[in-house]
Amino acid sequence: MVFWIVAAAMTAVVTLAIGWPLLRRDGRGEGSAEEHDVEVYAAQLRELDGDLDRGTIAPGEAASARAEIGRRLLRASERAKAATGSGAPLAGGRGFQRSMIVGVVAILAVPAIAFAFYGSIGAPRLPDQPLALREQPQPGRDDFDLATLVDKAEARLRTNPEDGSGWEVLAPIYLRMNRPQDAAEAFRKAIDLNGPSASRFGGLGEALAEISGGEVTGEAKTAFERALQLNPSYLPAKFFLALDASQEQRAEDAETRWSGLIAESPKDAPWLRIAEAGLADARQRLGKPPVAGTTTPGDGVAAASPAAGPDDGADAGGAGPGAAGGTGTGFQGPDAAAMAAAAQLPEGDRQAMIEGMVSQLAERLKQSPDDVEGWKRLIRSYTVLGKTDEAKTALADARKTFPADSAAAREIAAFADEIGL
Amino acid sequence: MIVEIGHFALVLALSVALFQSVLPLVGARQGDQRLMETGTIAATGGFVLIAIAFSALVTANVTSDFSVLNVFENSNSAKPMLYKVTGVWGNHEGSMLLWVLILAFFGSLVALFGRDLPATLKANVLAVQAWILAAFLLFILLTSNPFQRLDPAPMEGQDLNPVLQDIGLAIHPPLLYLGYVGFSVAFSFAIAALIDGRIDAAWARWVRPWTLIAWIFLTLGISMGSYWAYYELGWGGWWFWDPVENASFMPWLAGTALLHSALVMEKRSALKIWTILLAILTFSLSLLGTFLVRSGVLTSVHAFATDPTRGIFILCILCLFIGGALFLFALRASSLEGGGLFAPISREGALVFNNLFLTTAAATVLVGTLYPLVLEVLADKKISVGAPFFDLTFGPLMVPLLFAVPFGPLLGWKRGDLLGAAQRLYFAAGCALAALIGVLAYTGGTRILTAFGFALAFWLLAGSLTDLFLKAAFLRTGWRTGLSRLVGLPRSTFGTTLAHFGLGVTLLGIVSVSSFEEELITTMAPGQTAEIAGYTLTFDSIAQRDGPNFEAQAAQFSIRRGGVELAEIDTSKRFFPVRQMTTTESGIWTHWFSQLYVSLGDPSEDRQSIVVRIWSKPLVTLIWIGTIFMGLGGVFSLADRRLRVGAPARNKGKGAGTGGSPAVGAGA
Repeated sequence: MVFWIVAAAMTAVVTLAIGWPLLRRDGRGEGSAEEHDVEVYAAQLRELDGDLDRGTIAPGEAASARAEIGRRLLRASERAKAATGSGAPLAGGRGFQRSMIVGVVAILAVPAIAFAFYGSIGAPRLPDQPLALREQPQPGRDDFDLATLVDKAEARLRTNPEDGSGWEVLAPIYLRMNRPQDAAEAFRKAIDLNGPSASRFGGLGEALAEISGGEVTGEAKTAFERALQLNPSYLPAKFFLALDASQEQRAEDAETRWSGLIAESPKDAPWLRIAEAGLADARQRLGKPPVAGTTTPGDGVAAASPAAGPDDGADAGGAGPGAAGGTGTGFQGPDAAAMAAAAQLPEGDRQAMIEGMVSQLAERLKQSPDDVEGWKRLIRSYTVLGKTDEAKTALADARKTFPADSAAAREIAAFADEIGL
Repeated sequence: MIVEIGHFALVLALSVALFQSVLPLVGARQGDQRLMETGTIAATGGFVLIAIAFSALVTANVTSDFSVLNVFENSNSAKPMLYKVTGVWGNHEGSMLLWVLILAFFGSLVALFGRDLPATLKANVLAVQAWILAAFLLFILLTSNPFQRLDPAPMEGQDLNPVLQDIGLAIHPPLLYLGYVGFSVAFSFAIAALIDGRIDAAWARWVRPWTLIAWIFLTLGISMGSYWAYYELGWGGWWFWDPVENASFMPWLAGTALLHSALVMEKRSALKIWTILLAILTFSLSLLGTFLVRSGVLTSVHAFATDPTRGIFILCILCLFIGGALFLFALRASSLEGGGLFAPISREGALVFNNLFLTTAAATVLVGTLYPLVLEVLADKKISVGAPFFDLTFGPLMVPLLFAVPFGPLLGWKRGDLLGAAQRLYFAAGCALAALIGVLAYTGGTRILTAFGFALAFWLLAGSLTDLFLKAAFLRTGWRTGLSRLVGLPRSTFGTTLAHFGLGVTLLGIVSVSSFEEELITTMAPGQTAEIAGYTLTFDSIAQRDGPNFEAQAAQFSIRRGGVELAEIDTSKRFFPVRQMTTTESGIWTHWFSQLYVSLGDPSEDRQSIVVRIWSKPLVTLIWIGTIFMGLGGVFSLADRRLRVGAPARNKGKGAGTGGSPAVGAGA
């Protein structure tokens, strides 16, 4: 709106200014071109005299020059007289009316052309977007910068450290940004200020586990147990306690915990595959046959990491390009904690866990295939696992997904070349 | 909003230019003062509007508003502030905007300073000026709109071509455009005279200062561009006969001719029709230069444009204006009044000689520039016409012209005395002879051509001063009176002397560099030394020194002569990751007028040593210093009081008639 006011004002000023002379009554000029010539020659004569005084011109030369200019002057003044004598050379009243009409039409054309042309090529609604402005987080825009957000929240908490909900918001973000020390600190503050809750203790436990490289230490275990006390059906805590049992090779305990977790989990829980792998491993140790008819894989909804924080949305996990612009599209890769946990697992478990995650990714891509990074990760995972055939199938699927001439297809092809498929 | 305001202002400027291209013309036809006057305000208003648009684009660049496509393509938030500003015209769209800004600027100058012009002449001039403006505004808005938007805005821009990230970009294009576009005024005056079918007495007096302004800027712009290419490209050359350079050199040659023929017309009312033709040709060559650079038909650093629609659009503008102007000329030239007569040996004759050679030289450059293009289009063959062609054609044309320069100012108008002039040049001839003998002795008689080159340069230097010396009449009247006479000389005399002297200075630099330059290309490791022209260069160190938007390998050299350290040179190679391009920052040590020039090449396989190119360039700076003299000459000539009297003041009382000038005119 402001733009249109400014544009209209600009147009009005310009149009009025150029139309101003038309408002005058009399349009006749003051002197004819011939009279003007006379003045020029007279000035030349004066200049010649100046040159002569300064001695820059020889007297003989000056005399011939004066004669020549004089001749021209004479001729010009005769013509000027003739022009004046022949009456007004300019058009009379009707001519003026005609030129007035021309003038008015032209004046009206100026704003008309300007607005019509601008209307067809301009973008009046598009605001300026200088860099300084775009660096601020904008509501409704998802490309805001996480680091900037965190900086802002930290600054706020420095001035007001008693803001419990501030810590509570920040803690899971720290966890996601792979800053477990800060995350643990923030969860502790949140517990102090806001009181204990299952998710706060669960988060603390996860942070502690991450600090020690994925191992569920005694401290972490205590935190998870507190979480379960507060909310006996808090599944993430159960997951980590089961993981702890696996890590410490308490096979029987692990079997109970994993099968309990599987029974309680929703069918689309992201940790199901790992849980099943853990259960299989535990049963193997106990010499029991594997569970028949494993649970169907999750529905492909990329869900939270096991220890979902209060507002922890869909894009948990540090891996992947999610920070740059993902709106929750694309599987974000194995959760950092889960990866760390996998590293602690015995060989067979680790393999199972990884395979579980890979097949989860494959499932996800079936649901929403428009994810180049996801396809690349899937193909790479199959290659790493030595499953060349499946890698090829995935590659073929990816090629089918994207139009042959699209940037995505080229990217996939280049990637395939790169890993030698 | 600022961006869109700028966009709207540009469209409004087009609308106003269309208005201005019709109404004053109708007014001049019908003798309606009111319609004619609208041109004055429209020209000023158009300039203000384009200035608003330009400021908006500058703002978008400074604030890194990547929602503007042009800013996204040519800027980067990490770019230093200076280049954010200069980057505005470091690309096709922005530079075209600068072009029309300057065009509108000249138009508004004519409108403001042209109060004393005959009303119809002024109205016609402004209308023609508006045609050009409208054509180019349309070109910008339809094919190269700098205000094209992007939504959503990308986070980071693609950065400016690294070669252009230099202080040179701040100065060179604006100067060059002021020159190119300044000739549009002479063009408009020529067309206005043709439309009216008469050449006013004030015509030449008006055309000359405008031509002079354009010429000064063009001279300095070309010179600046040459120096920029010299130190930035790292090839050590100062002129490459590159089509883009030629594109600016052709209008310069034609403009220089115009300057001289306008002189004849002003003083003697002769050569009128020729001057008009020359004014048309000069601006046509400017347009051609714009076409060559902007259409992308050339492949060089300057040719940013790649879109063929642009090329065709400019070609249409080119055909319309050049073809139209020449057609009008053919139609009306015969009805124009011819001028005074003069003997072949006279000041006029000398200036005709000058015109002949300059226009032929311009034609030669035109052929050398266009021939490869035509061949490429017709025969699909790619050839390059370079220095050998121009040395053989342009060089020989310049020799007689330069030889004749000192004679010109010494010849009288109408009838001159060649023998007398030659006699007065004995001192200059002596200087030339001394230079000839000196160089022959220095080189052991092996460099005859070089010796003649030096002789010609000294002939020019001494010959141009002779005129001043004689006009002050030092010998006749003694030093005291001579000095006071010297001070009293019209400034245009100083202008002539300075410009011709500058020509000699430039020639001296050119001859010296092309004859005595030494070049050394070698691989060096830190600690090693190289010998050139009696100097010892030691490669002291090389280190990584990164800038805000580039990574640089910086090397340090120290220069010694006879064991005494004279100077240190820094030179570097910069890599710009955003554009994946490398530039060289040559190290230059200036001692008096000569320079040592060092630039880095590629490192060797084992990265222990690096290719180093070293040049010794004796008197090289004179090439550019000479052009400063030329420009200064132009300024002096422009400052001549008499040029301002040219358009006579309406109030005659102040006209200070020193002699018994007949008071004709006032009563008429």
